[in-house]
Amino acid sequence: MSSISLRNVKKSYGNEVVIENLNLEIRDGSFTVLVGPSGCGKSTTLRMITGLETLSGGDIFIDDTRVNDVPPGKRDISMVFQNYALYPTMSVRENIEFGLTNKKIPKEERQRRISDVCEIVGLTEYLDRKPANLSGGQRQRVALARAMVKQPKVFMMDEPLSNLDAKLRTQMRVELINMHKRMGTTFVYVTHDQVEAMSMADDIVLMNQGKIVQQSGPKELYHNPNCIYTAQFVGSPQTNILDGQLPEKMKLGFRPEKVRLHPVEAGINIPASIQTKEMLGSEIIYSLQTPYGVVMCKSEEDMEDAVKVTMGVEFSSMYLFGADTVRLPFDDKARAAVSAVFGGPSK
Amino acid sequence: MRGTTALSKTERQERLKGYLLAAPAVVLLFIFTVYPLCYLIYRSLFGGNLITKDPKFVGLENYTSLLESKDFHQVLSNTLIYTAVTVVLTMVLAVVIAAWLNSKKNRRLNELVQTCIFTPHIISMVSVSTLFLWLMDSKNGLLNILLNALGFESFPFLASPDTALFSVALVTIWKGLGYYVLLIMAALQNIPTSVYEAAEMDDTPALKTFFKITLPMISPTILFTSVVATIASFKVFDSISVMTGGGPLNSTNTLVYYIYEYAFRYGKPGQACAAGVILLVFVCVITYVQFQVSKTRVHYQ
Repeated sequence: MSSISLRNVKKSYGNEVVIENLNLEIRDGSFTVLVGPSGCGKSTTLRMITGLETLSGGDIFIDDTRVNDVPPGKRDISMVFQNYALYPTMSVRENIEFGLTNKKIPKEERQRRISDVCEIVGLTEYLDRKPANLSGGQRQRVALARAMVKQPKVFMMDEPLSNLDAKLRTQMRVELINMHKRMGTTFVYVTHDQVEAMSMADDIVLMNQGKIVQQSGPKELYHNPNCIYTAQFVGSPQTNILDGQLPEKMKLGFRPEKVRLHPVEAGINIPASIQTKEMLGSEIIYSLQTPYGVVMCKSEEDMEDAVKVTMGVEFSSMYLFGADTVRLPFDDKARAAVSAVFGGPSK
Repeated sequence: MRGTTALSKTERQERLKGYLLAAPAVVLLFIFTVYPLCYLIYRSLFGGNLITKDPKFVGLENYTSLLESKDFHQVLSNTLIYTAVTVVLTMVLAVVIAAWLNSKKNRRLNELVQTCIFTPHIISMVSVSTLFLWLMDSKNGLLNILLNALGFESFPFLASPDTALFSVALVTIWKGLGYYVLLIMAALQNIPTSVYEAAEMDDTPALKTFFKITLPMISPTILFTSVVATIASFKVFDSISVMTGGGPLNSTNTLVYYIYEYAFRYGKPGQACAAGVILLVFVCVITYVQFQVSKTRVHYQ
């Protein structure tokens, strides 16, 4: 169990600066997910914490110990790689045992730990197989077992589920959450998939272009985005932004599931026509043509295609963003401005 | 009906096309490999010389006289020692150099070394042998001049029966090393970096990483290259012909050179063919053994 802190961390490759100045606190025992589009620096950040990547500046602390010059194997960190990185010439048992023999752990202790871990991940009957003779899901489990058996202070995972099929991925997500609960160790997890981030994390670090955009719990991140980028990154379809109508280049945002297909009282009402309709089962996604552009709507109401409706959005579910895309408070003044532009509440 | 015949006709044409395309290779293989091989075995049972019209059938006499000859025993042991020395040294050096060149430090220097080490491979063996004949000259050779300049005594190289075979082996190693380094480097580059990173996370010492991860992962290439190197060493001829002519005192006479001498110098094709068959058996046995060993030692993906 331990906390991690990155202070003024820089990373550049030659002249190309990947991370300019990163400050990050990872709470002890948390399941922290670094999420962002590819190339945003999340994997680099993870690799700098593990020590596989050197820092161009700044410091990294694990439990208040500066680890900049500590080699990866001595940081008491385990890592699960995207492609698993199993040792292909070794059996499952040897793969799991390898790190323990390096740490000179006595044989009985090794045997005990291996059988414990294999029990947990369900590998007991595959111990003598080579990785080549395992399925993708089983290899994933070997990678997890290899990481767990070392009983590290921190558990790192770099897109560990991206090579699995959709069904297995959902299943492994649940297993990882359980694993975290049982072990109580700090988990640091990298993914580009917002669904993975939202479903597993208790702390999400949203990154873009080498910077942290927002760090908060999944609920907070979803309901309280601090800028347009966050608002649009989480949730599907992405948050609607109406741009170009409000004064001072302010922008109005609201989530598709907050769009009503009927007039609302405390909000705005806009005439719209249904353009397309995607049936998802429990919900339907509509794209609505409005005088202010296309608005996406997620609703349980089943409407006919090509019908004219009045689209309503309540004030309480609106986000107001400034010209610089940063979130603004939605005060009475803002409410008045929005009403004036988009038409006030219906009578 | 018409439909099926039309289909079988195109199918037949397709097959014919396949055979026609394979034919040149098959014909050449028959003329230059299969037929000579059969003839080698057949001719080894006859006496006579190169111009005898109807050589006499002598059965296994050629074989018995070979096996009783002390010279032939020495030729066999020369061949085995030469092969063992070249193959073992070549493989060890090639793996070590390839591993060193594959590391990411000093990229400039590595490229230079790689070029230098590969260049001998593209020079003909005869040129290389002639060059080393000069370099290794016991009195005026550059190597001995260098040794003397450094304060060492002259080394006899090709002039002494004790050192000649090793000197020839040294030349073969020098010439062939680059090729094997290249093959092994290709294998090393196929090892994913993430495996090494995993080893790093597991706190693996460098030597253990090399022996437990790198070496097993390139074992198929090591097997392949060692089989190729073994067969090549068994067939050594040009360097011996140019540098020593089998001497001094038969000390560098190897199987293929012996075969050549019996066939074309002494005019005894029967004995030469018998020696050729023995070479064939040796190569088969050794290759078989290598593959058997590989079953337990070599890891295929």
